[in-house]
Amino acid sequence: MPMHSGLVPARTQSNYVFINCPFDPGYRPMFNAIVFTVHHLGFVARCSLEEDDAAEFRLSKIERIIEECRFGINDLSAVTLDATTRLPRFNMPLEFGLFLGCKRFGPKSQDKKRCLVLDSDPYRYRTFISDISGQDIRSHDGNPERAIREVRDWLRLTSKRTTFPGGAEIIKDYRQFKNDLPAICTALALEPDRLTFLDLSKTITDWLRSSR
Amino acid sequence: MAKTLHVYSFNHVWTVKREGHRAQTFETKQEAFASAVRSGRKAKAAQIVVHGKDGRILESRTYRMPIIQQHPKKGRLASKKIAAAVGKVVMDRLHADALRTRARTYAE
Repeated sequence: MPMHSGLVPARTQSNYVFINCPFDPGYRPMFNAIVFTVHHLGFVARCSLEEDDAAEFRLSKIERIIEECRFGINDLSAVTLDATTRLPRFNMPLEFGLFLGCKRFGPKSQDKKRCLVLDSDPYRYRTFISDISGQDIRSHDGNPERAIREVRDWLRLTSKRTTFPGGAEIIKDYRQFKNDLPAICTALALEPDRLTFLDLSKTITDWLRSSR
Repeated sequence: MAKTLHVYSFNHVWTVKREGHRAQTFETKQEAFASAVRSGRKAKAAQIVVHGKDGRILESRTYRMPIIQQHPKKGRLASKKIAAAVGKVVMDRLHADALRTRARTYAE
């Protein structure tokens, strides 16, 4: 049975990668680096930010995107206590659970789903979500360039594609892209932080098609 | 090392340029493209991009590199507008690199 409420099950695309991470400004450098890496390797980054249809419930949107993606990258580094509310943010573990549930209980086409868990520390998960032990868990140490290497290595291993560039090459391209982004945004009369996810995605793919 | 071979017209001359390397010039677009294809086929990995006047991509080819996939949905900004903005920045960078490479060649 499809997880979403539509009558036709969504088709899982082998080049779609679901990005499950925080979207606050402080995380933006990490988010941009992960999205850039996914596109650099010939995949398409998908996340809940791409949807603008207010008529659809947020959770239904996320379920549908998860169902369409073969790969999932889940960054749990922001699961920390909020200074004001003293409560942790549970959106990332929830979406991670949905991804695992889709793989486990979805139709046969969902069997091939693979996911990566990223965190700031390799063993922090043991203190708050130890049941995920056995999953592919890697640490980015809060460093976007380390995340680039981890995402690249994991996608190389799980997708079994052979024409992958090396991590150092992606990092070099990412630095150049970061350097070019302000000028691109000036030409668009926008501030870099005001780019929507879909416009960022288009900017990255156009840049990669002409600058790798 | 940059793997993109840029094919573009500058001052009415067709140019093939890879960043950090000297540009090659040709009388026609066909000659420039054919030269880029020969280099691309020989390289371990390469992509060829033919730029229009505003820097936008008119044509591209990939050799032993992942093919860049576009997102299935469109954003708020027009695709052409983003392509032109990226194209302008890439062409500015290429022209600056061409000047640097030429200066280095003369110095040698």
